[in-house]
Amino acid sequence: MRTVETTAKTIEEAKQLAAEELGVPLEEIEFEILDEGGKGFLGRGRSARVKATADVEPRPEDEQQPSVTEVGEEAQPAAGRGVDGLSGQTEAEWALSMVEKAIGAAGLDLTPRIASESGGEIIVEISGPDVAILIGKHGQTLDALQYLLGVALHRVSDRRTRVTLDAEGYRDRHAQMLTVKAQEYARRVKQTGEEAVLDPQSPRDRRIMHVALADDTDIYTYSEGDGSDRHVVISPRK
Amino acid sequence: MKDLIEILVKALVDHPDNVDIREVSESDSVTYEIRVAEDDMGKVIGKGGKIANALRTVAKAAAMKDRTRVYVEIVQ
Repeated sequence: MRTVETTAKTIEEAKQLAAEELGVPLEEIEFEILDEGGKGFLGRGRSARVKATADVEPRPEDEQQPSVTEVGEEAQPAAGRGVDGLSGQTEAEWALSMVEKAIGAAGLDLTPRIASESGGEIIVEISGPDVAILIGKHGQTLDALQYLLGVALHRVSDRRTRVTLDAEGYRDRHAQMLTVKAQEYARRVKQTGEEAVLDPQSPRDRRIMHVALADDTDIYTYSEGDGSDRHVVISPRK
Repeated sequence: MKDLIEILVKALVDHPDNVDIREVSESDSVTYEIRVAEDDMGKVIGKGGKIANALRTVAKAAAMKDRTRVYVEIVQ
């Protein structure tokens, strides 16, 4: 069971965002409307807010960086010692040593360190001369290693801690780049009045696009397509 | 490279002792054949081949350093 809270212009959009976040179709989600939104005082529209609960387990591929929307997940216990197959290490120590081993075996000139460890998320920051190889095209190598690490960690610990791999600030740079791209598309949609169908993206990247445009009242965004074909669509609001 | 694949695969399975990785070299490429216990097959392949693909992506990146072409296969 997982619960998230999302905020958007309308209830429909907030529901869409929540479905995106939970990775399940709308029908499978139980919604609680926290705020119906609508016209606020002084013309500034009040945002709609929903609480969405679905019978899913947090999946490693859904790893998201903490960011602009409120994602209310149940509080997670701090990573402690001596759980399951961690052989006396904390989860962060385990993750760090796995990354160290993998980097060493790959013969890459890189140094990992724990950048943060809180709220059920461990961020491992990696730096060094071979950082471009580690990131890969569109971050795919970094994402692949992060995914494998997440799956492996969930095997030895049942805390559902997320592992995020970062490489010399790549995650932030990438999010900024996506935000700029989303705004460019939105501008074009407003000019032409035609919707823009974007290329397929990961759940995390799609979320960044939705969030980037959530406050733009002239357009709205949604995702369509299945699995690796799922992509964002930006539509003009009539 | 073999070490890298072994480290990652062993972290994914229930029976790490049954993990066997063979390196098959050809003139212009190297293929890594992964063998695991039968009940671990799903754990290295993943839903829709997701885990196997992630292993391939990581292996290909590591191979860029030695400029070789690598293939990763999961063998029964």
